[in-house]
Amino acid sequence: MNGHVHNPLSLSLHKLHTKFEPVSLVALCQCAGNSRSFFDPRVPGGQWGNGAIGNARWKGVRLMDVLDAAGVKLGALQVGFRGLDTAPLPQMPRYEKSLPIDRSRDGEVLIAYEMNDAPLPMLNGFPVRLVVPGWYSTYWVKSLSSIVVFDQPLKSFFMDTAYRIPDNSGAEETPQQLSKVTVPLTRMSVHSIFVKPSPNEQLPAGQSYTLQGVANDGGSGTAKLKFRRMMEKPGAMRRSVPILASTRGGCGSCRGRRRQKAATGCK
Amino acid sequence: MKCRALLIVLLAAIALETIAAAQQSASSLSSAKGSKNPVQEITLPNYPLDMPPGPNLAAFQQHCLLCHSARYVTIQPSFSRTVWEKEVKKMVDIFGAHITAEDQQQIVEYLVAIKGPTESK
Repeated sequence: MNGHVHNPLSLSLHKLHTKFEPVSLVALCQCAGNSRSFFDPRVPGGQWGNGAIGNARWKGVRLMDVLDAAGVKLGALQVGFRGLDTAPLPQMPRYEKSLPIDRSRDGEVLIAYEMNDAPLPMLNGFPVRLVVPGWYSTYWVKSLSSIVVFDQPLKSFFMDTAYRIPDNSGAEETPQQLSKVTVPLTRMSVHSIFVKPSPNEQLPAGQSYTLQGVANDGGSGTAKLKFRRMMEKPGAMRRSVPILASTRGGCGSCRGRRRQKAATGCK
Repeated sequence: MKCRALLIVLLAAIALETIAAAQQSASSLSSAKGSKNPVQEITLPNYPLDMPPGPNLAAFQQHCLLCHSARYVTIQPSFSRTVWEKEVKKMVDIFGAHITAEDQQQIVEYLVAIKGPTESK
């Protein structure tokens, strides 16, 4: 690759550890397809329940500091990322993602070499991975091996076709009217689940019961949780109540599906 | 495609070295960090390739397990023929699978047989 480069860099793990200020932060890593199996109607793809999510402390160096060391030229638009993994077939698109230059330089995006105070485990992206707090983990490229700054949008299947959502405020569409305009999925939407009660659990009437759950947003800070109560009509057929309430967009494979909102749930 | 790279940062070469010379590099790296166990073993999950019986199972096994696990198919819910046709076409058009039109049809038959619409639908 050529171009007007100030200082192309080749960085060893040792250099990352010693030449840049280490930064530590806690960030939630959530798959863009988390909770996919709750869509109604069902959609093909990884059939996640609510488990594609994990919180950890990440330690590494700021992507911003590495970019500054290399010297980003005026006109830079995006930064592209590739990992050590390649596709099984030569004609298959290899995994690569890009971040807008502003996001790349915001000081929050990390090149992480530690997770929870230990070297990044193999399954979590050893030797280093990208950490993009607040954005879905499709951007958190594992086994990061190559960083390239572009002055044009990166052309990649995994940016242009996959991981795209309708370009409206609710990121919503119907199967009959798929959105004509899509944008890359980025920041995590509000997402909440009940841990207790479990689906179909029967609660004793007249007794207090402690609700437990987990909620997250994309980093703005969830202001408050609201609860809605559904009263069953006597004699009505009992329906299973999903414990998921989500307003988030999908990852492309769920396009055209109505998101299933919980009858009781958090907002 | 014209993408002008303004900057290249490469971590690959040295990172691979770190993995390849695991004991040596890892111990020098871990001694810098104070870790006691430089080499750790992990066992990757291993799921069997068994598929339920059905027509054209051989065509499925020949073409469909090159890139993803058998389990990735068996965990899917039931879908219509239209959806399965679209999925198989996606494997060919986008993911580069080498499957003739006739084999694609056979694979769709198998998928519909094991994960097709159920009677109640």
